[in-house]
Amino acid sequence: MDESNPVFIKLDQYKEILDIVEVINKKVINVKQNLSELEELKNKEEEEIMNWEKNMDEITHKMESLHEELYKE
Amino acid sequence: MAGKITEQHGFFMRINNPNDFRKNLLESSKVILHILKQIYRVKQIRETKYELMNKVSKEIKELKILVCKINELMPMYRKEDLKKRFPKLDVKKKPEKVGGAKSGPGFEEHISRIEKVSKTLDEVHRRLQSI
Repeated sequence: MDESNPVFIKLDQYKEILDIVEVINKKVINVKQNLSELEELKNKEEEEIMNWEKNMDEITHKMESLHEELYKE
Repeated sequence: MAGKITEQHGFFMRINNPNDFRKNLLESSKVILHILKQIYRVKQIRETKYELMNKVSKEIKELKILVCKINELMPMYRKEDLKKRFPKLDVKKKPEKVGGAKSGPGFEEHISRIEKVSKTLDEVHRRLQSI
């Protein structure tokens, strides 16, 4: 279709399009909110995993000192 | 007598700092408990995340259907097609404005809204891919 030429839409279809656009707008807002929530959850998960690593390092350190204690002399 | 004791009890190893040793052991088990808690939390977060992702993907599918519907509603006729379908219609003549000059800018406004929605949809799609 030639992009520069205007097209004419039947009034009832035009109204239908407007209604659909309205629904799309609401859905987009909803999806955006869900995406922000997802991002938040993702950050939380990363934070938890980082803490997890820190704790694992702590355990490794403690185990090393126990090992040292056991294999002294 | 001493030989008997050795036979009964075997050999012993000396641990110089038994208190530190026990403290380290206890602290290790405490940290392990922390890790178990974290694993549980991560599991919960992932479950919520998957539920939310399913919800988002469902909504995106619905959006896709709605956008297709708009596409279907938009006329696809060119001037030549219109001439063929409606030979009496003068396509060069501009339609008379009904109810004042409101229809022109209003239509443009709605078209810009559609463009805005499609841009936002693209943005949502991009953000979804990044997650």
